[in-house]
Amino acid sequence: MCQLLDPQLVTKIEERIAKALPGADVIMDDSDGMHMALEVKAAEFKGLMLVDQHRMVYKALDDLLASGELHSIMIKTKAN
Amino acid sequence: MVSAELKKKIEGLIKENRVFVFMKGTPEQPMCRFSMAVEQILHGMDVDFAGYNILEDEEMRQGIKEYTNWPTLPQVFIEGKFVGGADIIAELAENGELKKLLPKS
Repeated sequence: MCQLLDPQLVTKIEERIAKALPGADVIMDDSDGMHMALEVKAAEFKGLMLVDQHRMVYKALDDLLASGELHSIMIKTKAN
Repeated sequence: MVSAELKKKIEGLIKENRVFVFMKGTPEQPMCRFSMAVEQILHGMDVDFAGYNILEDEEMRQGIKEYTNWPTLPQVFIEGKFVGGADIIAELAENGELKKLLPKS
């Protein structure tokens, strides 16, 4: 399933990440032409396993996922 | 809510198979770029895995997401434990961690 960047969606994603993880660094990209990639660096990730780091990101984007507005995204997380 | 029956089915599958992937398509024929990425990584490491094609089962497609509290597919289980999706598997493969998690064949 493909999902490319749509400026409105990008804004929504950035807003939600900023709210859930204040101070986090966020990079969004769809340069592979097929899927969106979201990279988040946050202090809150420290000590967490990758699965749990990604869960925090998914949680922040919960309403977008529930509505189907967002359905496919590659996540990369790193502790700041 | 995941029905008790579905939960039992999921737990049976992940316990009976050392590496199990809920995916779009099959291990022989993945049908989505992310599922294919997982298949290529695992087969590239000579790891055999069993898969469940959620494209053919809407109940499982929704149920597994609720069960793991994870909104996307594919979902990879190793030795009965949820490890993550395609992006996590790729990262673990890259940093050498995946090899440590895999059962010695």
